[in-house]
Amino acid sequence: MSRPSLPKASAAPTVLHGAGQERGQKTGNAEGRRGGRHADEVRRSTVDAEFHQRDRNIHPPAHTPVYKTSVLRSPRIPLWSLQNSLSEVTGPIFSPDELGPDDHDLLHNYATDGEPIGEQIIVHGYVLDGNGKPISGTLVEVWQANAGGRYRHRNDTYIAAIDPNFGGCGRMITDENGHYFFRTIKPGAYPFRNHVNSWRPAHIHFSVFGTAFVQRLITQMYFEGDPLIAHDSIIATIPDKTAVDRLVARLDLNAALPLECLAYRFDIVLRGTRQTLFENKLQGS
Amino acid sequence: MRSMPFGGSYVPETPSQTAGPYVHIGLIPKQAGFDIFENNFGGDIAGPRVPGERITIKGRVFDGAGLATRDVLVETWQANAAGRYNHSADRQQGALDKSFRGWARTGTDFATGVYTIRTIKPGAVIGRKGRKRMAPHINFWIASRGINIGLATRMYFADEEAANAADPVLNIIEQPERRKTLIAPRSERDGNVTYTFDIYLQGERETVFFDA
Repeated sequence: MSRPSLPKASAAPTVLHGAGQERGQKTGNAEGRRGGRHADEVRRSTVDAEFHQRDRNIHPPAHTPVYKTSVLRSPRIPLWSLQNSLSEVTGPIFSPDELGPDDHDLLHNYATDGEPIGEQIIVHGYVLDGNGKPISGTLVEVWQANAGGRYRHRNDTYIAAIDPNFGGCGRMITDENGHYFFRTIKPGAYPFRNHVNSWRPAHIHFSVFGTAFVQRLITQMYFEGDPLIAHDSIIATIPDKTAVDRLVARLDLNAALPLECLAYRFDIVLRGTRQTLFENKLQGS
Repeated sequence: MRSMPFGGSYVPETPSQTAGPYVHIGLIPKQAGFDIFENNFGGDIAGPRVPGERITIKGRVFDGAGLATRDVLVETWQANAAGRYNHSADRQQGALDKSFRGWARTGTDFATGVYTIRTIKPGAVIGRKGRKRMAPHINFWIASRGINIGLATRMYFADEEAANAADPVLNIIEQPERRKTLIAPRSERDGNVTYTFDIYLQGERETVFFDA
């Protein structure tokens, strides 16, 4: 099975060499060369599954004095660039039967005597990879403050009341089209200790897996039109303002339930693999 | 060869944001102080029938002022004792154990700053492009308040001296001193094996973190 070579002008960054990082690395080792047909297959499958280099320009750097806590929690030595091996291109897979039937319904998954207080909303979207391909069957976890801006967490002592019917977390697995959705209440803004008067815009935290551990991502979703977005120190850690825009969920009237609740659309893109360049696909084979 | 989706353009990755101080609510709600899900993901991941040497990994995550943080999410991903990952991209011949996912999640303790993972020691995994084997190792990923994008590193085992010396990843780290930040010492007490893996976010002993 011969594979076409990458076109010369391909935008796919295939090599992650940093200065001085190839030192001591051999280009062909006897074990791989000698191993016969099976070794060939192992070799080919890991190469097919390699991921595009992460574009660090769209992510916040580690050290961002505007968000003070990052200063003492940021590595100062550059990350060591590492070509993908099996340890990078594999990752945990979850199955729907590991989740409970109400895990994605934040209106009801903790409520005991009524519904949580606040504006009920639907949040939905697609999880895609960097090639625009839907990622089905992947775990999406969310957590958030209640309508008053208070988290159900022993370390949160904000003045807003705890809502006895709101836990503030949920989880779901994307369907065959990479789609996810959940119901919740719109979280409130709240102050935090950064500058003297720093406020977080309303947001929902997202944790996503993809199919490989190098796709692992935690991020936050904001709401279209929130005036606090322009003032937030954590959003300000992202240098690329078009990237910030992709964290802002759009009001989606088509998905709203008439006379019941509004909806917001938030798509999540994880890193893409090189394998989709080739007909000889690995996924599902 | 297929053409690229969307007329040849790639879709940019969603930017990362800090996991914040309340990451426990979503990912380890019991540590946040409440019960919500029936099935919880955790840090004790090898059932009684999973083959392999039982090990405990303990450690702390230090900030640049030398303080042990007490709100960090710790996740690990590893091969089984035969050196095989429970994933379709792994076509190695070692035995696959479907009952062992190989993924653990926990947090540094609110009081002590110590995280604890109970698992089995992984086997050696074939290296990139089928080249020489990598020494047994566990992949770590940590996230928290103040960490803008999750940090990836690897833990290696101090008792695998020969394999570590030949490991293709440890060997690309230019400074031998820095390789040591990834090697966890082993201790045994009453037959229980513990590896201690402390992570230093910055400072003189800063851990090697990877961009893979």
